[in-house]
Amino acid sequence: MALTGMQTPVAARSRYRRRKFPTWSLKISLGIVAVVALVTVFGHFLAPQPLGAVAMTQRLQAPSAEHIFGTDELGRDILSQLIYSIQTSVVIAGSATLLSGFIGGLLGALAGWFGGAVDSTVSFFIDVQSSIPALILALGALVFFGGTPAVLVVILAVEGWERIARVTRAEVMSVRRSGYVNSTLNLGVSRFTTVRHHLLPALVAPLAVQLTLAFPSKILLESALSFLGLGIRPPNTSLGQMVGSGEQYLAFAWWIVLVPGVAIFLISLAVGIIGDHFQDRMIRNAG
Amino acid sequence: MLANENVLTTEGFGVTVTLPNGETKVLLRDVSISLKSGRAIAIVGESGSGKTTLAKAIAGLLPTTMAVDGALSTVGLVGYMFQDAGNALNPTRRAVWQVEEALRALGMPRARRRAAALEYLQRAEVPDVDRYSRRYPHQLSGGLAQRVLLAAVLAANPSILIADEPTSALDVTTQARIATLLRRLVKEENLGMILITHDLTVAAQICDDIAVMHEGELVEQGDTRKILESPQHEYTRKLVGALPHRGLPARMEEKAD
Amino acid sequence: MLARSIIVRFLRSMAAIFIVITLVFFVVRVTGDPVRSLVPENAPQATVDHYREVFGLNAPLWEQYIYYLRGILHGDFGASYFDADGALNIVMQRIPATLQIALPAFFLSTVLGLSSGILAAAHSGDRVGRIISSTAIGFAALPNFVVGIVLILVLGVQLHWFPAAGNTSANSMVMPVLTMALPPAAILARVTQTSMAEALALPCVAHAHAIHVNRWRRILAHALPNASRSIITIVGFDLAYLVAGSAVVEVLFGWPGVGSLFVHASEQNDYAVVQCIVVVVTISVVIVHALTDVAYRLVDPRLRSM
Repeated sequence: MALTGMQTPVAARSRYRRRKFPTWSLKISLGIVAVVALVTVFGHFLAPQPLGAVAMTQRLQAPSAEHIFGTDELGRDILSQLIYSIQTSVVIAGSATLLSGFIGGLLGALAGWFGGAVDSTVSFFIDVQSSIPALILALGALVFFGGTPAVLVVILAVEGWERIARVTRAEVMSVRRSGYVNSTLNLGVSRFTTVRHHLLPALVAPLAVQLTLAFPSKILLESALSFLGLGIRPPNTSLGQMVGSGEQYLAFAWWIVLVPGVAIFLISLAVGIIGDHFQDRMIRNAG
Repeated sequence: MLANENVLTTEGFGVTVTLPNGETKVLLRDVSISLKSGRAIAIVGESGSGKTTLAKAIAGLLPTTMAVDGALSTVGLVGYMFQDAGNALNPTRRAVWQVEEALRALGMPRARRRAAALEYLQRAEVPDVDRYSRRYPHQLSGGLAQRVLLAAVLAANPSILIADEPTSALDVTTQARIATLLRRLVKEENLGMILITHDLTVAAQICDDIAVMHEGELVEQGDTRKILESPQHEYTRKLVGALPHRGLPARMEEKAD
Repeated sequence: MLARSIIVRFLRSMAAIFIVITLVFFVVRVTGDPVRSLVPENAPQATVDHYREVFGLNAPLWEQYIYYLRGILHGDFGASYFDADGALNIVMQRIPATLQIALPAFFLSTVLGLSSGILAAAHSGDRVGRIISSTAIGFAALPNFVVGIVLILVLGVQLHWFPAAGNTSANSMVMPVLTMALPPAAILARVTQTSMAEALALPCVAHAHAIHVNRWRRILAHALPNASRSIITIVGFDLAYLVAGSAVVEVLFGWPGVGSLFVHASEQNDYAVVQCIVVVVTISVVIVHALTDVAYRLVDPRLRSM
């Protein structure tokens, strides 16, 4: 029987595969991520003004030497607000990504390793989860549980765990059924050791790629929720929150909205590009 | 196409590839062969000897990283049969479509295509044509897939047929049948066939001439009988020496059944 | 067994819907007393108890659950706390407005995304391909409300081409539709490009080249069907995303659709409406997913025996 299965792309087998993006985009992305990381960790020291420092006499000022990004409707320095917002958004999205990765990775691994009933159950939940639209679920949960950062992190983590679970399950299944793992287990090596030495190293790369690719969507989702006024609320600030509260002043104080908006864009773009490069490199190494 | 006409000539033909790091590597060097219609030539050698590169170059299927030098002239179209028939056929379409596509590319109007495609499938000795023509590639056995592929390539109306290891993945019985089929088609349609193989036995069964390749160079060529009986080059001698000694394999048409 | 796989799929969808309905029920019951948010703060206990009776909240939980399920089967999601009308009616009234921008956005994004992706794959070596690719990456990273805001700034405020709010005329549809269409189009373009690039490298496409099939026929009739799986997945997401994703856009443009209703109801803690929308949207998403599955089997004959 000629069971063709999936055709193997000829290009993936060839060593002469051309790169998709020029490396300068990777360098810029890494630069952006480095800046963001710096801001997240050291933001408190970098911001000219403390969080939420209202100064009603200086409302809605255009960008100037004194306020590089201008001031918002309450006179707060936008650069400072931006720094605090980046901290909040990145920490929330980052925690959510890690939590999502943990849930998805664990469930996917269990499903892939044990197969059978465990696999059926987990796969069923993966299917159910992918049927529920993220935003609706998130909004619903926010209404009922309130908009504290902790709830937000959990909600964001719940969106997208099924993708990570799927990938992890596939990886674990292929390792579990591979020749060398089977022979190792047959030789009597304990399962614990097998998992530690064979399974976990094989999972590091795919998981890292999935997490990197999941991060941008968490940032975007958090921004959307906060924009609608349901996520991070004042006096806390986040990138989406800044856009949301500044929206009504769009016509004459566009910087209030555009600065955080561009920040969201750059962060998700940069992480996305890095994730793509990881994925490319991983495919190339495996092929 | 009449018999015994020149369909292919290469003179000092070579192929060089440019690697991603900028270096160039010579894959094929100074190959000169000629082929007449109604005759079959086997290109034998081990993996990496350059035989597939030569075949793809003749068919115009080389990737853009490879450059060609030397003279190559062909008469009529070149048909290339890929090695893995299961992969070469489009998995999302039925067998008859695969053949119809070749006819479509030639400009045959839609109304005539189906009938013509079925005819080609019959010529490739697909049994129970009405039934199998409607199958998808994953529902075909190795031998059947090979025949469908052959039908599609024939439908493109080539005067030169290149078959890349057509029998390597098949069991011995099917191998023999495909070999017979190919030889008969060459004689009946006056095709010029180039058979790529690492198996001298198959080469002897099907082809009138043999060209031996080794590390990108043509080391010896000539009439099959002559090569097998008195190989000149050292490498050819090794190849022939590795054949099981049961006498020369008979050409398919000479086996009177 | 095509039939058997469809039945299994159907059962899974039903299970998903059922789970969501149940989840919504328990979440609502668990997170607080709806009566409290309805009556004034210092209302006498008697009033509170009275309303509890009226809403059937004193009955044991499982009884409430049965009542709730039965209600849903009859299309009764309870009455909105703020509008005398039944929740389902309110939601249904707003659906046409949402579809008015969501459907055109879906078609626009699918056509735009597919064609750009195919074009980018066909030109993968040269400048055209790179431009399309970079543009798509850029737009895919943009949150849709930022797209909307930029459009408002440029097209609405500066150029005064289109009104920035309300659904007054055909003109006012333009910006919301564009805002909803562009980010998904970009994502589709990228996925299409990647899948097509892989498909173009397949042996069957090289074979098509060998039998002299011309370039665009190879791309569209030989490679594209093989690239369909990922593409259909994303198109399915986009369709499912229609109602769910309209929330942000509708709020931004003041468009009276289901999305903005959802946000406003959420802000006012109008549980009945929120509940109703969650269930309705989930049901439509589940339907879309099932359709996507069927589409997979139509495209790839190898899946038909599963």
